[in-house]
Amino acid sequence: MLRHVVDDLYQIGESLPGANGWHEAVRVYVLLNDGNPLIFDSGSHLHAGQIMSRLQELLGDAEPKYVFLTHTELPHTGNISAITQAWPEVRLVVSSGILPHVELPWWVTEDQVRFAYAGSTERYVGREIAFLDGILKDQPGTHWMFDDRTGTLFTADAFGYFFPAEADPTFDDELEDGVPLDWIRQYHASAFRFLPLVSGAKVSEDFARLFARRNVGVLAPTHGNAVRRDVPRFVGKFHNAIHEICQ
Amino acid sequence: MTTTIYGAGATRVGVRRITPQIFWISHSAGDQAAKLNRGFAEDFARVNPGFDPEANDIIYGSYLFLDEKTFLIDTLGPAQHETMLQALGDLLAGRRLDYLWISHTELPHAGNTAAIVRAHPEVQILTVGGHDHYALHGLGDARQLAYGDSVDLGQHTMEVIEPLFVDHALTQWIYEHRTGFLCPVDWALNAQNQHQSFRFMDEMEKAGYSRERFQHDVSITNCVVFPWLRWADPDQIARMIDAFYAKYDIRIFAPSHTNVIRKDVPEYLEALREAMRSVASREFSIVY
Repeated sequence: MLRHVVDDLYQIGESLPGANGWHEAVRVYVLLNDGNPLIFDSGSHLHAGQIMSRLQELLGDAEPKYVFLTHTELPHTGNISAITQAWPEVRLVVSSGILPHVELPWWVTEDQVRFAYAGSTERYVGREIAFLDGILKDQPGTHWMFDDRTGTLFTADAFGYFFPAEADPTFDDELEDGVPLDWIRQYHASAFRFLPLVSGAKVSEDFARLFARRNVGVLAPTHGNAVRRDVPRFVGKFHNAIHEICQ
Repeated sequence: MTTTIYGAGATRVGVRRITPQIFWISHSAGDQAAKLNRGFAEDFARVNPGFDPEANDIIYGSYLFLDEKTFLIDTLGPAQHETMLQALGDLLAGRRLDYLWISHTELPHAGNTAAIVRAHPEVQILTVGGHDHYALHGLGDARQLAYGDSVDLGQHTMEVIEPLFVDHALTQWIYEHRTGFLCPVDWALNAQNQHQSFRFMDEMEKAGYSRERFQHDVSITNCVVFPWLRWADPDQIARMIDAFYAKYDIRIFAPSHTNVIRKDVPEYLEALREAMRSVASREFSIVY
């Protein structure tokens, strides 16, 4: 599935059926960036054929220059082999918090990797990408990225949601009342098992600081569709879900 | 101290015997750790005086039980695929590998699952049950275990237990009743310098390490490993740990990223509890 999100941001990816009819999405995002594409995460190895086809369809003759990895778990790095084979010059941008020799496939070479530091903003083929800590994450070496031009926050595992199959290609603004709170709650309760041990108020305080600092117009979670029209409404539901799960 | 070592740097794997039937197979990069791990210890030491500025090495541990049945805990990471297979092959010495238990799906723990299955096609993969979407993590064919499930190896009984501290959702811990062996996976984590590789904790003490140092190190590293602790209540965390200690008689403390603790275990466990209380009390520096 290939969908246009906003401006030069596109979403690719498939989903996986699970128990009780709930599906989990695994998304890849692409900024076309005036012919110098930037890719965010690489999707699951289970969807290699579809993802590579959609990438080639979207990019045409343009060669991606960088793949930004939010973290190194398989649903996020599963296609870096296919991508680097198709475009050998592509470089992987990873968090300075990861140790490549244990967290990336053994064949990845030193010169294929660029490190990014939380708090820094770097220019990649003309596009400024800011790096911040993953506020809500499972793997320690997870970082989030912000593209100021589109206002997109790439949030790795956070802000995902489970959905019934028919909702797979649907953005928040294409659903009558946006993404239902229940979808958001079910996903976060499943993905972040530590949440019942923590204070929901403290979690919300951290997110309030984040949204006070960044003018977020689009949320780009790996395990849900991009939220592109009403981020405050979605975040409000997220807070409600967090408070239901947490103490 | 008898250690069998395979490879060097990124591929380096060492084997130590904990008991006649339990082996510690671990990766640490030794004299290449500072380069491979980009000298993180100096950064840590700058902010946390008392952290060894040369402790750039991190242990990645795997454990093998050689009983009537053989049971491997975790796989080490992709860069160690050849040396891990060599070490495993030498320890098995022609025996079949019956079980491979995956604590959770991150690459340093599960990254060689496919390689081990290719080398030992008879192996049964075991992982945590009760969740969903296992295929995404390459575990679509694994046998799923619930907390409380046991695997009988002969003289040893491996019980899957509920973890106190998780990062990835598909995480479980494991406890062996006869020996009091506990693998709490990512919990703890102390860095080490190149002179401390492959040591049991009591041997670390001979190399200048101490219980106090362990407590200090864990109070720093576990802010990184479990950043969600900044939202937790320190006293509740301490109470949870005490309840866990009361439930399990831990005599061999064998995490994935810590020197194996086989002596003075109660004292180290107390230090660990206080370290975790300290983590949950800290001010975290977050970049928003």
